Amino acid sequence: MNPEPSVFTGGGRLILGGVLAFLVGGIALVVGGVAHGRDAFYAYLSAYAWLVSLLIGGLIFLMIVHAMDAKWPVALRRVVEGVTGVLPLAVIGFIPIAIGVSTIYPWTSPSTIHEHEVQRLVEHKLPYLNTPSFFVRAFLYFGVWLGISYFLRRWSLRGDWDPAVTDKPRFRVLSALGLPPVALAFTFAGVDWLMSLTPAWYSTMFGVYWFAGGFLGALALLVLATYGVQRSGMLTRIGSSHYYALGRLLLAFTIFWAYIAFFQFFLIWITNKPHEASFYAPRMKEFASLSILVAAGRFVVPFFALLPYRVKQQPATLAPIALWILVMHWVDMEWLVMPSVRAEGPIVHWVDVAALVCVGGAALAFGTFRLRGRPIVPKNDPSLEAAFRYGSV
Amino acid sequence: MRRSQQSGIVGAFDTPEEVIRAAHELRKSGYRRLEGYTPYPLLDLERAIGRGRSRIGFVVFPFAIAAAAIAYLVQWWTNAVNYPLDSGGRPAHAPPAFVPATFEMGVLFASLSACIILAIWSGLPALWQPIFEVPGFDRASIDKFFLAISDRDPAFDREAIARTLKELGASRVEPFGVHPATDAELDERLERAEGEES
Repeated sequence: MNPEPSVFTGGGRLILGGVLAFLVGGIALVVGGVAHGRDAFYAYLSAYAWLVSLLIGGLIFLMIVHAMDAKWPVALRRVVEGVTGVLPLAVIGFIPIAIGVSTIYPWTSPSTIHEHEVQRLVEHKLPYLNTPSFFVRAFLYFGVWLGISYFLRRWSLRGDWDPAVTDKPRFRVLSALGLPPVALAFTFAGVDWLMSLTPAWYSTMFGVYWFAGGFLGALALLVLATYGVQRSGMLTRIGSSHYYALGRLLLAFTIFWAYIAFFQFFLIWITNKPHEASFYAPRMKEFASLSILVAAGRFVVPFFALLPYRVKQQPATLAPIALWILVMHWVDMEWLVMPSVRAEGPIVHWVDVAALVCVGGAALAFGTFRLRGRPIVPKNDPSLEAAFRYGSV
Repeated sequence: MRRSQQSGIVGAFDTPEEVIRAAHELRKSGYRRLEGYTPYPLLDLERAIGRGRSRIGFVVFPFAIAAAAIAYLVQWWTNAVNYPLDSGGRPAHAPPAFVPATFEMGVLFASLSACIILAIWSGLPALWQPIFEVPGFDRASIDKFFLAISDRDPAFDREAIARTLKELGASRVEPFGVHPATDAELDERLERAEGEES
């Protein structure tokens, strides 16, 4: 009927480009590490937090879609599975953080903290914040994420070979039961990996903040990946309604992120207690320009850009906004990491960019590689036809 | 935005498919002032009679922005200019503290203006329209699908439209908004309506 290729075979240039970016970024990161020491670890942590939040955001999107038995995302499901397929790489990517844990996190050696009160507070938190339990928890998080993404992917691919196998109820049960552990692991990972950079500080909103940014970034990544696949001549039946659906979610989660970000700041600002304010103090002084960039880049610009109806319908206008959101998510990670660890600046180091190129390139190459040779849609899914025909006002 | 039609011709159809097809055909033959009356929303009919997306957002947006700006100004003027109070050493002009009320006022006036503009554009204060006088028109909210053409349509031709509507499957074609010329004509129309209902 159609000459459209149903199996994803391309991506050779993407893989090559990804590997090249990984090598160039990696070399720059190592060079930066030799020259600037700690900065390379911070740069890597920020890029790594960016990647993991995107992957888990994608996983949560996939699980919500399965749990709700949603129709239209079935057309995009293989693309989402392509995103979550990068998760095994994230486990390997944790190694540099494991190596640098005593360099990155101040709570690993409370005795070196100068402020007496902060030191006592960190000592008080030692039963939770200590190196062995940090690794055990990281192990648990990856176990939950990898386990669930592995089965969702496996069942989905199995349906391609054997049309008789219908795993719909399994998908639903695993996703519905798996969402709370995945979300909890995500929240705790945010606490462990990012919030503990300022060990005396705490915010109950922090996990939600990280999730809101990551989920938004994952949606943006989905727009870009779908557009990319379409540009190479596949998924031609995905139309303006699908992009409009993704665009609406982008707008909704841009607003959600702004709500979370503002109220986390607002409550701490108006209470003005020293330990709570310690997180925002450097961000309102030395890093004020970065804070303004995050607020404008994550909310003001995408919010007004996404308001018009037509913009969300056409991939040609939606994709640049998605790219912007994706980059701004990284800037947001910089904003979370850098003021906590190098309060004296610089705001953005060139090593940070090298780390982003390295991590992003590796993920791109790995994700594309795992998608190769697979059907680009779950071709035997009973909802596939309805998903393609999805139309909205 | 469209004014409700004052007079013209209306055809009654039995199925949504027929009325949508009729609307398509009439648009194709050049009629522009079409209006549909159906028991439930028919997206395809809206498209067929050439009704695009609502422009209400473009009117609501400036209202929301203006209300938010005024809310911020009021807070700034009362807190920082007219009656500054020192609360815990915080600045009198405290932007974060002004944001919630600013946002709420934006939302409030956006929804209020949307509500009022929607009522005005729907011609809501008017409780009666000429087309209500068409015998059996109440079935537009039960089981019939009506398609009306205003006589202000540049291509309006009473005879031609009545014929076309019949050809397109209208079970009945009636003029509306024109007063019956004589008592006899009124009697005839009422009898016809009664005859059909029984």
